[in-house]
Amino acid sequence: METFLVLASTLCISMGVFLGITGAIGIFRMPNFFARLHAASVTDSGCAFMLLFGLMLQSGFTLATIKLCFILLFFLISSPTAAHALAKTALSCGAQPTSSPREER
Amino acid sequence: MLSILFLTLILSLFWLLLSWQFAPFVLGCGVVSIALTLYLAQRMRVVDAESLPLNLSARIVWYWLWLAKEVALSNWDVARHIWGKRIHINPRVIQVKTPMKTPFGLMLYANSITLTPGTVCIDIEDGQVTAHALTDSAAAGLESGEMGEKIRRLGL
Amino acid sequence: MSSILELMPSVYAGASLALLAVMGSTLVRAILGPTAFDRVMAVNMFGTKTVLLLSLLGFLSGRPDFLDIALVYALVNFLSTIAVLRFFEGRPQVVKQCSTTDVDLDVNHDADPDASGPTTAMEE
Repeated sequence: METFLVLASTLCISMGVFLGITGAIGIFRMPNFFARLHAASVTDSGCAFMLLFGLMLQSGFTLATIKLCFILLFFLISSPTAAHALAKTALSCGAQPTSSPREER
Repeated sequence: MLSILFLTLILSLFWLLLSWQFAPFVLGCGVVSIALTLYLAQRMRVVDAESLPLNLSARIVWYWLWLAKEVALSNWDVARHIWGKRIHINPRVIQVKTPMKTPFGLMLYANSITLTPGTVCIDIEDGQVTAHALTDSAAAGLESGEMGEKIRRLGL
Repeated sequence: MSSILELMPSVYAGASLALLAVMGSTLVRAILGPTAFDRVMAVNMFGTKTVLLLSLLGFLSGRPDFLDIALVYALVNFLSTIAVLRFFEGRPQVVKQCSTTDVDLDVNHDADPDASGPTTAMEE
């Protein structure tokens, strides 16, 4: 049982870290702001979920798990809101939502 | 009145869970902060029927499981585009009709769209969702209207 | 004490190091820009990663109190992102100043014609 828990949480944490690195590469490779926003959204939803879930598996039924749940719940509400606010403000300030061909790499 | 009671209950639970100390001074601090929060919420007029989500059915759990699957799939899709040798993206703004009427349903829909990587909700106006899609498959997934249909069937 | 549980601290440490690298690259994106919104997005992402790093450090040092700090940091990070965006809203001149290139920023579109150059707003 312990072995299974350790393996499962290691798997979850490494998945989360992999998604985080993916997002970090994404915000450098994507050609314009809106595409970068999508790359950042990968890390916000996936990386936080996997990492916190992996930590929850380790802490078991304690107060720490409840706090991790609160952090996760808050992320699930706040990260879409922040992404939406970014997209809306950028669009209202005139950022171009489509990438022109010259910017494609 | 019921929603104020509900809010008080939630705030007390929140305080107890986070502090987990039962010294009289700490509990007194909790009572003072809850009273202050209730006063501020009253002043800001954010306490209304929506803060008491009684009309949610248990079927929303199935929706969340389905959403988790969708988020995982599109995470994989976007990650593949990021790691790919050449970036084949087609970012554009699309508009979708929304079938649901209640504010909570609209909120759930917009949050689900944004939570799914590859699509970001920009605006909702008179039953029309304006969203930004990164790839062709993400745009197709949104335009199929499957997510909105699932929320509508929850009665929202 | 089985030996497999002793593996966990190294997992936490490795994940923390990787997260530090990710945070460094988001800082680079925040400095490079090019638009103001890229910077806000990078700072928001940096804050998210900080929360995750704080949780990991709490588990690494065996002190779950770190989770309280992480929770508060998550709240503050969200609030600051929204506040900066509200500040940008309707101020295209400020957005232009915070951007190094004017990629896709159509500032002259609806700015009033007698607004003086972009250097006035930030000098105070």
